[in-house]
Amino acid sequence: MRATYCPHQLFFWCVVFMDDNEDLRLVSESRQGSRDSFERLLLRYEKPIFNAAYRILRDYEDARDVTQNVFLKAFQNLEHFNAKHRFFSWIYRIALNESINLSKSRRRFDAAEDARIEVRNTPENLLSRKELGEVVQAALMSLEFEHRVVIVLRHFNHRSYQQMGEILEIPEKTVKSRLFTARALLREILSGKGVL
Amino acid sequence: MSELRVKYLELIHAEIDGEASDKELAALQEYLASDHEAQKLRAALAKLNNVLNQVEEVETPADLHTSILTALPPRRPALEIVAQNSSPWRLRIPFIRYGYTLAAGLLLGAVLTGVALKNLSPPEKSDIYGTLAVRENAQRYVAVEHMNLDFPVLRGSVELSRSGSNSMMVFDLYGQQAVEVEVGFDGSQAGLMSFNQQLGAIRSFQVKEGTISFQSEGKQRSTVVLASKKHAQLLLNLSFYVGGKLVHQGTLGGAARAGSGK
Repeated sequence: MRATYCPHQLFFWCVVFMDDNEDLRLVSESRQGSRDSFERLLLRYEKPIFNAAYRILRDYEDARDVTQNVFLKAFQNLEHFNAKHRFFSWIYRIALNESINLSKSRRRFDAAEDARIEVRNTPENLLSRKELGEVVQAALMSLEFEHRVVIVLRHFNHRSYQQMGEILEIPEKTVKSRLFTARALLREILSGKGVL
Repeated sequence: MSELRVKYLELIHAEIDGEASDKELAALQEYLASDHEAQKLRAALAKLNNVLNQVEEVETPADLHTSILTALPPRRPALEIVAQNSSPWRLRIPFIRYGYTLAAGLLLGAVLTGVALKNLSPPEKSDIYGTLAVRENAQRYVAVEHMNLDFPVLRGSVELSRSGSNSMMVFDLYGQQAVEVEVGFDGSQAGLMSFNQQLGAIRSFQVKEGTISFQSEGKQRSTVVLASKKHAQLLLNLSFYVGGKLVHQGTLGGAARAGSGK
């Protein structure tokens, strides 16, 4: 993964993912028994997968379990991976399914906890980045799963509309509409907490 | 909300996401000048984007990588898969397989008995001649071309030798990271005869029609022998990758084709 400047992006550098062909080569070698090649895939994707799982679940240990299961399942099912698709779409899809399953079995979001990190928007009460992270995370958790996922994929995993469509197996148009709604909801929540 | 407005509100999101073209951005700028509500939305979305970008990335657990690798079940290496797929159907029938085992056992017994009986008498000349005959056969390979590799991440050499219609490549490679080697050739003219790797077990090896790829690690010698159709002089395309990046690409066999072999 390398960072590069995206001229059309307003405020930030974006992340461009390495060549898909390289992924396919590593997958092919992993299928032939090369653990080194699988380790390279692991190195490339463990961090974004862990971060996505954490942002979706808000639990460090759950995110770790999801990441571990994702790579275990990917390794065991490499034969079923269709080389016509991109590897990252496949592995992200496994991660989202794992996260859905886990969140269904552990509905742990606690409204009281959310209330506890309410902040006042006064100059003397500026948030540290850590506190800001907590507030944003709490706001994310109050979104529906489908809205939370698009925010995570776009803002924390830097995926394009097209890539999000591939991962979620929905048309790009649906991706946009979900993302726009999710942003409107998130703005409302964060404004209510005094962050925006 | 008018269709035009919806279009431009979509464009504001696209601008934030880096998905708008230059032409669309120019059109948006023009539109924003006349729509204050759209300007407000743009500012609000930019602020949200800014807040989300300030959220720090979560550190992955230090032992995550190792624990995933440890949890992975063993995977059958390529050579075993090739062997399994290429085993004749007869060997998959148990009583025939056991029949072969019994025959092999009897043959081994006979050979061992012969050896034991021979050891009772002094060695004969024919034993020595036999050994020399094998070596003589190996020396029939004549080196025809040589490739030197002298890169920061990869050093070593590749030597191409020929014996009749067989081509032997000896890769003496040295790299601090694993080196992926790919040999391309005309698959309709030749096929793999043998592959051997010294020092350590074969890590990965793959054969497709017209392509052989393998991995070399540390200081390692790998030998590839190709058998080609009579009189076919193979041109071999070699590619070397380190860390997924192409380090060198070259051909062997061109000089031999032109009749300028060493």
